[in-house]
Amino acid sequence: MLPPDPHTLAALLLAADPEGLGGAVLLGPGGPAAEGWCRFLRGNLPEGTAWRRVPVGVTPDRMTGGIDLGATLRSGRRVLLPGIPAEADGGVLVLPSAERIHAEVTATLLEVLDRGRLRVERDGLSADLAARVAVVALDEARDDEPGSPEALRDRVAFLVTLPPRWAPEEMPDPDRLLGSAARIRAVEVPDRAVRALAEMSLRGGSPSLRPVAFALRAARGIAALRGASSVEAEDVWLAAALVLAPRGVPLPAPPGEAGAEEGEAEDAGDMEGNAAPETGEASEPPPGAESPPPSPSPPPEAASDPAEADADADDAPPTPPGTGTALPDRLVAAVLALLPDEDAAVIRRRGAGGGVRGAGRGRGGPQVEAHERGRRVGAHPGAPGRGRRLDLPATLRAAAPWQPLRQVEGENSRLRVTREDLHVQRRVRPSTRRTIFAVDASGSQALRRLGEVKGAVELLLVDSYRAREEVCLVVFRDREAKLLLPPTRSLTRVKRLLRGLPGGGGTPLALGLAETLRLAEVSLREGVTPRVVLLTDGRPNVDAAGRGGRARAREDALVVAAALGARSIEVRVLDTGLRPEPFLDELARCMGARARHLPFADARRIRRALADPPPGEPVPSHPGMKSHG
Amino acid sequence: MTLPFPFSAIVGQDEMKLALQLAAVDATLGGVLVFGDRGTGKSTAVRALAGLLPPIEVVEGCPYACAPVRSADSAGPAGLCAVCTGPHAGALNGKPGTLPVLKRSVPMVDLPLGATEDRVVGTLDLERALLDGTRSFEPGLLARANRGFLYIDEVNLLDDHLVDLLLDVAASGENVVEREGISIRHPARFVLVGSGNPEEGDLRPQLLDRFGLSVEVGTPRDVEERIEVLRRRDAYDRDPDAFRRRWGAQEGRIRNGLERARGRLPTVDVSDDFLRLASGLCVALGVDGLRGELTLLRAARALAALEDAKAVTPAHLAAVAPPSLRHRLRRDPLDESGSTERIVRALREMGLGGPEAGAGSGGPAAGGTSNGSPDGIHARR
Repeated sequence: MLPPDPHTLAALLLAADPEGLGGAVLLGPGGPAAEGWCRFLRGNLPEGTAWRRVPVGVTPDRMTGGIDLGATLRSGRRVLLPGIPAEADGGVLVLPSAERIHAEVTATLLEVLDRGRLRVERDGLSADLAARVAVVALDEARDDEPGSPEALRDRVAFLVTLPPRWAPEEMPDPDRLLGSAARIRAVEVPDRAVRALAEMSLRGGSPSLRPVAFALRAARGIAALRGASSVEAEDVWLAAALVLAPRGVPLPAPPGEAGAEEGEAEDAGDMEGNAAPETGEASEPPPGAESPPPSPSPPPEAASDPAEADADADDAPPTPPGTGTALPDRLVAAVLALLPDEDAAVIRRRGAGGGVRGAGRGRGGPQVEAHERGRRVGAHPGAPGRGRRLDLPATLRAAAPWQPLRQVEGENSRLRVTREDLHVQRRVRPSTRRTIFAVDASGSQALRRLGEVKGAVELLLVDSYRAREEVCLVVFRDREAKLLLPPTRSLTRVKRLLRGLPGGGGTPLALGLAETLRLAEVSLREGVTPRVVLLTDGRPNVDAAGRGGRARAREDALVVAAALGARSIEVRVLDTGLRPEPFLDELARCMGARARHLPFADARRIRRALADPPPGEPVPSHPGMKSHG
Repeated sequence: MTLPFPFSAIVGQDEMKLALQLAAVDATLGGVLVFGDRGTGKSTAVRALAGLLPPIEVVEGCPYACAPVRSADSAGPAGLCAVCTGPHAGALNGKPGTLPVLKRSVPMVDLPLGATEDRVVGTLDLERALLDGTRSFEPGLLARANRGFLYIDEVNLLDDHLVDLLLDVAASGENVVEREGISIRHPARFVLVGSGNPEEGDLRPQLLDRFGLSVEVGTPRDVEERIEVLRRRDAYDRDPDAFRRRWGAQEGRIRNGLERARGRLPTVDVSDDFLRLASGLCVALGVDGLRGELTLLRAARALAALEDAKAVTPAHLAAVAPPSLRHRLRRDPLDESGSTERIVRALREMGLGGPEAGAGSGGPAAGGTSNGSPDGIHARR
């Protein structure tokens, strides 16, 4: 009764219980696979179920609903245009490009998912409409980009990563799910199932309880699909695999396989890459033909020790071998193949950007649009044009009191609006500036310097509350540069991430600058002005390819610095060495900056140095490219 | 989805539940800020609280839900609005005491993040202006929240100027509207409750300390507690009606407790010694201004009322100190120790013992016994 493919199963479960499971986030490049999944989901929903695609770049007022201008003007009284979620009541909302969703749109979605209702309080309108929807978000963020908002992921059951050539293994069949809602509700959930999920969820991943509740709900759905009246161990395991494992929760061995040795943990990790062929081929003609040989012992899972596995065997009553678990072998194998090799996958699947607003910035575009975007906070008198939008309700409101005076005898109730009545929308952008700290964590002074920078970042952050600035932190040492802290304004996150920074090793300055450049470009695309603060003693000895060698290291660093300079990005260079380093002067010139020597930089001095106006000198036309041996 | 989850069925989160109850007992406390992890029942608790409160008496037809004169409601002196006293009262027939009275549930207004300023403060009634040329005021959310709660989820994402405005009105208890040729003021006394996840951005410090109480909630890490949360959630999802019936008695107990506490509030004694103690604590912690002391006093008094104590004791002070003060401490980003620990330390140094470290509040004095969840974390299964 269960489909042999986990992604197909997820879609089926969602079709059977859209409201209870909240929806899904489809991770990875869009295209036929994601479309196929959506089509399959839609095909399994009862006929006539609402299916609304949210337009990319939808405006917040279209989401919450607002005044229907046409109808309002025609009728002379306010007419409400319901928000999109209300129009999709009882159905599914598809959200393309979820990684670029507007923060305010996210907020609306969260409310709808939490309450099943949508409130409108704008343009003088007030309403509370039913909006019970499931959300399918298509998140096409690449690995290094901030993904869809964490708060949204927390409110949907499934995080689905489809193989590139995925296709459902069966035909959609809404009849199959007839009456499933009642069946799901009737399924019994024994205490040990709840306990198993609660314990599992404490072993890793995000501690939030929402996904765990979803897993429980999914387990109920799986049992119902199997035609069972009570949740069994295999339902729990499968639900955990679908809901919790993609969030970094280590999955125990499948029921009945509890004793599986774990010597092959590495192999399980490797299988991730091989997952595509298996399910991919399945999309070609006969599905059954390609199924892997029924292995007597499916590959053990990637992350758990035997002790844990044993514990799980106790929680979930082992299914006696022979009577067989209800899970098709192929499904178990496919699920295991999906398991992430921990680190990479956890990082990849958790939105790097974090919260609602971290990931909520709009598409990149010319900054001219600055006053068109952002949250609408009110209106002020003025004529529209040059990017300023007419605020119709405010304009009407201004015109309204004068109507009796402006009425012309004989002409019936024509609205008379004069130039003085015009109002334009006042908007604020959530954040316009981002400071990128690029910190050299190499060598002997690393620890001390890191401590100082950590303090400076925190101080700067406190300063920037008012200005609504963001900071992010790039650390380079040894042979790599890492984005340690994605753009944030959250002191909490800063503190947590800064704690226990490693230090020491070589100085890959070029790599650090390259990562900085990349972030700066992302910022520009998002319409946020980047500012770079580089803290280093200017003694690179690792080149852009990660190889040792002072000469190449310097040359590469200058190349990247010139690239930064060419983009007119504001850069501050703080020389943290004991003695001023001439090379840093040269490097700084390439970036149109000047190196400041701060031999005993402490947090407060760094902060003061940042508060000084930037050096007024113009960007040098062409930076010198000679390398110093 | 429409029936709120019962307040008493929320597992754990004692400090949050206590703070909300204190604010419900004394609306002048200045509101509650709930900050913490995702999925910890922040919104659930706030929405549940509204469903729990005893109904209030209002003047029928009044857009601001004015209290009829001499109402026992502690929301403050029942200043009647212009509608209830003005010549237009017409049907309401003018004289205080003879106004038609209606019982209704406590207003609970959810402020959506996308709300525009005109809907919050109220604005010119466009329709009437266009249709009959009269300039009349259309009350906004602040009017609707009068004598109730105004809840902002993700308050840290709300525009600063709106938060500013809300805090101003909450503090003054009056909404003054001067826009679009309208000039009006009306009562707007409400308990402001904000919640948010600090991972998504902090609230500016200057807004932070204008909230009366601040509580931190964390995801329960205890398996048993998590199991209980899941179990109740599951039961509620399956059959909200039955679930609410099952918790009806507990809800009633809390409701009665709150109602009694409101009545007792004016009679609770506050000694000079207590005031000295509160001031001493604020000085020891370097809290600026008077808000700290005032909040300590009111919160401790509300707690005493909830516990049916005749006078406020140092134990009450110790119990309310963390939520009253933790957001008022000057933030030194270089100091790693959290605000709560600093408060607990200061309490200890003053010989007040304080609530057990780590628990934040909700210690023995924190009222979990008489009015908290009877089936809370200590008595599960």
